Amino acid sequence: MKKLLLAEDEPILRMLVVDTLEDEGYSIDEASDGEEAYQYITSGEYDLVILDYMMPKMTGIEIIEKVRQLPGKEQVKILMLSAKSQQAEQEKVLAAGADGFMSKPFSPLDLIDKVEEMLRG
Amino acid sequence: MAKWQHYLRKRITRRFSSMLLLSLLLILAGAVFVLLSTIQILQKYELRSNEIRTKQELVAEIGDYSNEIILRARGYYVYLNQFEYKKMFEAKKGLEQSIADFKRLEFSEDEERLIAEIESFFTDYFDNLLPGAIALAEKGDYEGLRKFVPSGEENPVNELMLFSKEFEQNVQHIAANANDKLIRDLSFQGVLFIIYVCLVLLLSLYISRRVAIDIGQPLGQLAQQASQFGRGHVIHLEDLEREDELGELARSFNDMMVQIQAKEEELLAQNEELIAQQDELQAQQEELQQVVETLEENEVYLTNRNAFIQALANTLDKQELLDSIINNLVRFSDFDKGILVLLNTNNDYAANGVSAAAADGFIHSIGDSMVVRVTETLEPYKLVRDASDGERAYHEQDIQASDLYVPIVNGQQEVIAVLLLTRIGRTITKHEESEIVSLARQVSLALDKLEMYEETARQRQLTRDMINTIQEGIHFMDMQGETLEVNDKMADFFSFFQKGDQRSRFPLDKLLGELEENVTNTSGLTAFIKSIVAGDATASPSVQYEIKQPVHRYMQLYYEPLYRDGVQFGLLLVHRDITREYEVDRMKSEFVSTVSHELRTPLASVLGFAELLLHRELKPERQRKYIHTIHQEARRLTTLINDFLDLQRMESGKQTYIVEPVELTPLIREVVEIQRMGNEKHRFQMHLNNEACTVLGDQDKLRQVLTNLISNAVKYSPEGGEIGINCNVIRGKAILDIKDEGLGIPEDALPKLFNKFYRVDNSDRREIGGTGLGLAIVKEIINQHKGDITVVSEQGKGSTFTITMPLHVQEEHPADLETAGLIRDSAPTVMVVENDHNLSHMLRDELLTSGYRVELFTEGRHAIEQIQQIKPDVVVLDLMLESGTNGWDVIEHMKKSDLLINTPIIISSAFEEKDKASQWGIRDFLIKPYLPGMLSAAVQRALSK
Repeated sequence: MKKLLLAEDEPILRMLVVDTLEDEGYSIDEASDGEEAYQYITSGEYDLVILDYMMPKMTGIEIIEKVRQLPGKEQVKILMLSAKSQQAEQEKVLAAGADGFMSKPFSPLDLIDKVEEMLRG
Repeated sequence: MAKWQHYLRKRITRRFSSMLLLSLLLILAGAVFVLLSTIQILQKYELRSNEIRTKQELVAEIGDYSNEIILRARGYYVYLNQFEYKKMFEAKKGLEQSIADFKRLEFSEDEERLIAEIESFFTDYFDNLLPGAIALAEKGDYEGLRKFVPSGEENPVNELMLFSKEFEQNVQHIAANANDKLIRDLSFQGVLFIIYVCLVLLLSLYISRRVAIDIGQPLGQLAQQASQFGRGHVIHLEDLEREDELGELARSFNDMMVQIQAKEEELLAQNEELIAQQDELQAQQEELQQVVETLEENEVYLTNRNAFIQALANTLDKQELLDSIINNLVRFSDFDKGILVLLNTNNDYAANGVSAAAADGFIHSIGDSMVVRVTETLEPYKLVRDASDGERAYHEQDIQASDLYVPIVNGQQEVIAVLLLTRIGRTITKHEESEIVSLARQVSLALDKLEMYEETARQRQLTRDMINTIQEGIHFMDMQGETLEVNDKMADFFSFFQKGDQRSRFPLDKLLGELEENVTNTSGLTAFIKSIVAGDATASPSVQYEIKQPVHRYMQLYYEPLYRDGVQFGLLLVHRDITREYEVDRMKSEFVSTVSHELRTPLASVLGFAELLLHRELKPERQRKYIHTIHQEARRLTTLINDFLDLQRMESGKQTYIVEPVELTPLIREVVEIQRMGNEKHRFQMHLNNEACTVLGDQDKLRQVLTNLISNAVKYSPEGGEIGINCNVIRGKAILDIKDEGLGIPEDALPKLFNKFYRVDNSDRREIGGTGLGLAIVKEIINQHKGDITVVSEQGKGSTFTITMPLHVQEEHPADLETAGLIRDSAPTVMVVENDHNLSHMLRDELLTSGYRVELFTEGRHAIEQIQQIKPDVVVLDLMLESGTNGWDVIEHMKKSDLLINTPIIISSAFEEKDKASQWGIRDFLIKPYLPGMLSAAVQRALSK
């Protein structure tokens, strides 16, 4: 079973993502702020990390940067969720080191496909 | 005879030389003669001497020969030597020779006799004696010989001897005589010669005398005549006929004399002419002298005038100019006193020799003086009058004084000033008058110039003030990019520019260097400035940049080229501080992005769950949960949008409030009821003032406030607990507290709490949800109701929100307040000390409307007198009061009184003297003019402390 980490401060959205993906058979850990998310990443092994862009304590981008510097964690796959949808934003996120990008609001089915795609490749 | 005379007469030299020649010849002749005769004498002597000597010699010879003969004969007698014999005959020959020679000479008788004797002797000797002797000798008959010889021989020989001797002696005598004769002759010659020389000398003397007379006398005469002539006597020359040099000299001299005389006459004539000319010259010189004097006078005058004009040109200060004009005029034109008055509103003046009082008097009476005439006629006016007592000083007799009034007329024929000059005791000549008039023209020019200058300076100052007041930075550059002028605002923006008129020029590279220091990321700005200096077209007409020091600003720069007569001479750069706009823009975009973010989140959940519901088979509980969530989030979205729109409306001022009296107590109860519904966790405790707690405002909005606050209290105490709502009335204010025992608010969040969209950055709060707009809306509404909202909180313990609002006092006629006893007793008393009647009434009305009792005073004195009695709760004090007692005195009085020392004081003043006020502990300051409402708020604040 694939292990996923979700970092999202909005509880409702957390619920949405968790429900969506758990039903697909993924195991998901939840973090409600950046620091918590970082703790999880460093202490655990995840096949995919889904990060919200804007979070208290540490933003998604900051987390990526820090994670990419950790030995052994450089390769962790990261999917970024953001309220901003522009092309420039996407490029910025990918340039920072994210492996995937998804803008809010998103369709849960699209999310499932994206996760599958990222886990595959 | 005549010819050689003529020849000689012709030349003195000739004569002289001929005379010399003659003398020389004579001398020569004499000398020759003497010489010849001497020679002759000498020759004779010589001859004689020779003769004598010869004689002598011959005699000697004879003697010697005789001797020898004898000797030899004797020798032969002895020796019978042939040699002796030969010798003897030689001697004999010799003797014979000698005698022959002797005989050729002259001889005296004695001599003749002697010689004859000798001859005879020897003839005898040889003929007789000798042979006899020889025969004897040969025989050897010496006896016979001795007998023979001496007898016959001795005598003649001895005689001969004697004769020789005698002869010798004679000869010597003769020689001596000859010598003496010679000497005598020679002496005689000598004497002759001397005589001769003397004769010659005499002759020479005579000749020279003759010559001297011949030459010397005429010369002397000529010389004398010449000197006489030199002395000026007329002379008549002699010797003009002479042929020689003297004659020539005399003739020349005569000619010279004649010429000299002629010249003298000429000179005399010329002299007379010269004298005549000299007289003329003298006359001319005197004329020139006069002219020079006149010129000197003129020079002095011109120097003075020049100095005067110089003084006019040199100053641009009005008073200085006036002073210099009058001082110079009076001094240089030799007046005794004077005054120059400008006929403008100020009547600026300058006086020399006139007291200030006198000057003022004159100025005041200008309209009534001769100035009037002068301004009408535009001509100067002279007045001769008696001198005043002051002018007369100690003189007893009357003195006249002259006053000269001169108008100073400008280019438009208007009299701009008047000049009054006085001379005491002497007159003012026409010439002087016209002098002053011409000076007056200069004065008018100078005054005009001054006026123009002042006008220009005013204009310039105005322009400068205008430019320095502009809130944009004005920056003027020349074509090389050197900064020539900046206004004060530029000095505010950039600390490397100085304020004030003297600004240093800034070359372009220096400017760019300074910008490098003070601006973040100057590349764009630098490139922009460089291209506009180079005259290139820029990508856009303006550029934006960021100043980092001294104050962080966002700036916009645009530029315009400046032209004069079609030629560009510089660049005008305008720097605008767009920090505000930038901030606003930024906030707006931040706001927009925040809003869109806030909107997306609930939207995402709505979409997400809806999609899940559509595409999955879910259990009914799940389904319900999702639908519930969708509903909730949709509602949240709606609330968010509504709140947002509300807030926008409120902020843009478009929100309308219905203003009516609203009873708070029932409203509170209403809201609590709604919140209480379905809430098991919380306990609601209300402590409400049972008296009517009425405020003036919009009921719905107030309800919204209460709802927000109370629902916040509920939301943020998720564990439950007590929620307390208290409403009190204190001093005309409604104080409303809403207290919860919930999560509390972290200290760093407190200042931002009422900001739009602000939500405390905790995950547990995020869970609680909310738009972040609630408190912002509450604050906006409360502010519109002239109220205030504050919060006190301790994290983990709970929070208390406090609203204060002014109570609505239901009075209709504020003017009747003091008489109609509708004032609530509990209303606080405000003492107002304000001397401006209008303002004081306005303040009083305001305070009454706000529900206070008002005691009004216009004089500090009265206020101090009654303050103890009134015991006000608050004192509103104007600092500037009339008649002695001012606000500070009142304050001092209060601070000295135990009763009043703590009474709050609000200073209402036109001046900001916060420092002084804070010394008394007064911090409430209202700077006039201010809205009366602010006073109520201040009083409220003061009372609530």
